[in-house]
Amino acid sequence: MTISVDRIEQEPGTESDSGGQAASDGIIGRPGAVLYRIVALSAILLLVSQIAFAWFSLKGFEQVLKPQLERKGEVVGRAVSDLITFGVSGLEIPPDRLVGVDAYFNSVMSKNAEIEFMALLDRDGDTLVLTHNDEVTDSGRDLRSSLSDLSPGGQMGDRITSAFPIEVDGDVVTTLLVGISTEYVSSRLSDIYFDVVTVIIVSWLVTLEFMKFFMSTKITSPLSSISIALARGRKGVFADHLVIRARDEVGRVMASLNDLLHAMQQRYEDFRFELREIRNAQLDRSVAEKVQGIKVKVDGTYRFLGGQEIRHKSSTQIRVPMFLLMFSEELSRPFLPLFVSRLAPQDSSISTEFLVGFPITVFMLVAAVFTPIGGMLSDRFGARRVFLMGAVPAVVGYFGSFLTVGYLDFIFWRGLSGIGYGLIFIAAQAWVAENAKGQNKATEMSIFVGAVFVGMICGPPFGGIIAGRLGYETTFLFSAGLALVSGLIVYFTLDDVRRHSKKSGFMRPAEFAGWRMLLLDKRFLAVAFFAAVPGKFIATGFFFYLLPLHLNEIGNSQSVIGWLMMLYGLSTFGSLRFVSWIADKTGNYRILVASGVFLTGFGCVVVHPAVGIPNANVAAAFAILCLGIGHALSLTSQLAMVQESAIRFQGAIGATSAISAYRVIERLGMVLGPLVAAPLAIMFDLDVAIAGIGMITLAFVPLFLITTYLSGSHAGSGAMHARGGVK
Amino acid sequence: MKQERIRKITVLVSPAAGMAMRAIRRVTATGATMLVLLSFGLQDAGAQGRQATPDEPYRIIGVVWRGETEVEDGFRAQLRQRGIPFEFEVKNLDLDRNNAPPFIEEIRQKQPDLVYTWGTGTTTSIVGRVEQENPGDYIRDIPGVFVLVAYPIEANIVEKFERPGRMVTGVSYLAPVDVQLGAIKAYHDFKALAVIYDESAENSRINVEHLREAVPQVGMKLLEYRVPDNNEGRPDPGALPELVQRARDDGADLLYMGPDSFVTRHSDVYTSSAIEAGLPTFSSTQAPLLNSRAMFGLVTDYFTVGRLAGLQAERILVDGLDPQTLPVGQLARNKLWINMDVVHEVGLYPPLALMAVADFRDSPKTD
Repeated sequence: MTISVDRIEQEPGTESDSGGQAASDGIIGRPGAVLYRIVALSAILLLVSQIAFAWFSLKGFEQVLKPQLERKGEVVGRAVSDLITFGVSGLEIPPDRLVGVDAYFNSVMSKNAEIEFMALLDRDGDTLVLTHNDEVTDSGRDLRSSLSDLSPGGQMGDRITSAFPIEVDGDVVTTLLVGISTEYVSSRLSDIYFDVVTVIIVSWLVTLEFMKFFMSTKITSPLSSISIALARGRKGVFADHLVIRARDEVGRVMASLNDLLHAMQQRYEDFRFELREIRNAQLDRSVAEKVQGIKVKVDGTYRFLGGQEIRHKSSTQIRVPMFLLMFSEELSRPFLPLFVSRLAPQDSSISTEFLVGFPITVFMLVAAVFTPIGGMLSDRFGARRVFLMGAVPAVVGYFGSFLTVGYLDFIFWRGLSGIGYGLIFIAAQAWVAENAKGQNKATEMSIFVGAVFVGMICGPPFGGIIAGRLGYETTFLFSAGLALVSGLIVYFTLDDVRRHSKKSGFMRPAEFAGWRMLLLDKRFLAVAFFAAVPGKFIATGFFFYLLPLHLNEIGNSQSVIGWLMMLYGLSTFGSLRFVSWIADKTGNYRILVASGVFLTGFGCVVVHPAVGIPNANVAAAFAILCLGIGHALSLTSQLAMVQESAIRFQGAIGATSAISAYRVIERLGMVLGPLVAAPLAIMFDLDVAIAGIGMITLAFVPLFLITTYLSGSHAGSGAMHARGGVK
Repeated sequence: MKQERIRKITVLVSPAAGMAMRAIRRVTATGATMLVLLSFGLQDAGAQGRQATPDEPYRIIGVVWRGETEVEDGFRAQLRQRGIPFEFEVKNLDLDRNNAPPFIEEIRQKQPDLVYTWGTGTTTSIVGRVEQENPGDYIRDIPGVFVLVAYPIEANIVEKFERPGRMVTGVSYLAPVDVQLGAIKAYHDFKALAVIYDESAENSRINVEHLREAVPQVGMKLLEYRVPDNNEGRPDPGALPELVQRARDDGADLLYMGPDSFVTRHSDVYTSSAIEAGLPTFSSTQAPLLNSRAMFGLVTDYFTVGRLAGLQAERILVDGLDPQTLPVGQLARNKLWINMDVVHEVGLYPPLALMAVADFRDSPKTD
């Protein structure tokens, strides 16, 4: 018989085993533990060294860039001064009567962004013409005043100035000044800073995830197995056997313990044998009974035979594979619509806007179809196998996207990835459900949610860098690699344990019957159709589709688009804990859901140019933050409301069934998003289209409030807190 | 070494320095580099002209309007450079169409290989128009090449630039009016452009029609002044100073000299009156800039026009191409000519950007 550590307390004949459990999960998370300190220390060291390394290399880069720029200013200045010399000396035009100097300087500066100003001085050093770049220069007046007391060739503030005296018959009649902005150097560098910071954050998060993963599988899990074995030994149970996955340090300790257990079991056998021999040899019945009494006593106090295999299997082990899959899918987030618009056939009778949205719709549709299928498969084959089943189409789909030649085959590859995504997404949840300890299910689910959000934070900015530097297609190659690693980790580190009595509860056919009841429940319908659908609708219509196009149109690099899109994951993740706390505190889920939906819509409306936010990037960032916080607000409380609905049916339908029904309905919103966004994009500018998506979302708020009000009993029971169930 | 540095500059800061570099190169560059033909439809492969020898050269008769110009020099230079044996006999109409018939008779007798005609008046009086009332009075069967015809289509000399449609082709030499106005606007933001013209000349009428359409489009006002006739019923050169004065009083800030023979002939009076009135003059042809004191102009240089005509002649004579399908040659680039001495007198300096591309000269001073 095989047991899992987490379920050891359910074994008959054994007492509850709290010590082992504490060891299994609390080791890393508990301050003061050695491993916690090691992880924290190495994380800090890693971060510090990365920052230091980046700092020094950027400094070095700056030092190389500066003289290059000075040289360029010199070359431009010489060319311009040649022309002025020709006018003043060759054509005998008095310097103060030169025409069109400002326009000419402007044309030179527009082609040489690092030149901050160009000036022409007369023989007394007074300014004849001053042309400066408004973006960098404080003001022309300040510059003009500082020009008068300038020593030519010197440094003026943060500018490098080159002077070119222009002579007629050996007499300097005018001087050309060319000022190079050192701020330009900084602005050039800031692009690189963004990328470097992204790489630091992403590599840091990835390292942390992997460290926790290896700590868990290689150290804490085996250690907790050992401590379970010892705890059972304390209670006299020496019958168990530890399952060893690797002959590493901890593995050898486990092996010694196994040897010990084995030796004890052996000795017990010997003892039993001798006892039987002695007993059989006794003629005196009373002595024989006494001997038998010793055996009964020993057997009552200790147990050496009929033990179990102790193996560790915890819900946290799925976190890294899930994180990697999310990471790989999110890589293409900042550019997918742009990439598709390049692939879309130009001569099609369908407008490009629809063609661009179509792959997003297909992906979501396929994922939506395969999620319940994956749930059923997990029930039958176990989560691990379904995860592996999903990894195959995911990897093939990403690799196909890398090799894509046209629009139609790209849709096919995206569909394949969608199959993988749908299967894996549900398999990971099923794994958590399979292995979670009963009461902590919500907390365990937060492990899964955490993986999703860390992936959503890392993916877009990193994908933006790869796309910006290596091209869109290459990003899909990275996605394929990450999905492959995710599958390999699952294959090599997770145990394929056949299902137990526990059901993950995803879409069991028997529960389809419950659907009819749900669909007649107004409150459930209100949550599903007027809160969940608009929530997903705005995610795909705005965030997946219109936003990358809009951010590109207003002139952002791929890196910056990735950065901005990362704000979604950050804001959701960052506000989740706080929002859950509010939900638990107030219990007024209905208002929280409504305000969440309102916030997501409101953010998009603000993008409309008529609102008058001067910087389009600021407006977009605001909309993204609103979307993230709004989603955190509404999704948590939505789940609570769905579970309340299930409670009202008093056992006729399970909470998990209600949730899976709700999931299926919300996917409708995901599919609708691009389909509604496309005609908006055809009719209006992208920023107006985004505002339109926001308006549509806002329209759901009164619908939701009215239907939930009419359905009565809007006082939340507050009994169910599903803080972990986002997504 | 220096050459190398200049090239580096161009690479780095082009086109800003590219412009400056062209200014440097201008000193040595000749118009020859600008010789680019719009030569489509030259696919009469296999066609061959008569093979001329030094003993039996190609015989070309040229008819000019007011004596020989640099165009004929360019024409000869081109043929000579190509090593083509030729004999070029030039007749002068001396500003009078009535002198044409005897030349036509002479051409009929001599039966040359090619007829060369200078200007719209000469061309129409020797080879006639596309649809001509008495075609027998003109040379219709000998290949013709015209030069210095401002508007060959409007003047009904050819059907189309790409396909003349008759035994005559030639060389176009005017920059299109919108290009000219672009150059004018680049020099200075002029507001009112005045044209003083001879209404009896076809070229002038066509030119003014073009201006009426194009000038308002670039945000300028067009002021028109017709030169009045004198007692003999011909345009009166004595009226020019007064017309210039009137244009200035009407608010003109630029005088425009089109392809107008009368104005060109009297450009000394015209331009000196303009300088006196403090008005800049723009010329669309070379003569007022070269021979008198116009201030600036966008022109093709006559020698280059002549060379291009020589090339057309070679195609007809040596390559045996049919003039009916040989497109009218066109110069790809025009020269912005600025007479710097006039600029100094008028006091309207060219902007820095133009200095890099313009050709600076001094006008012949008329003391």
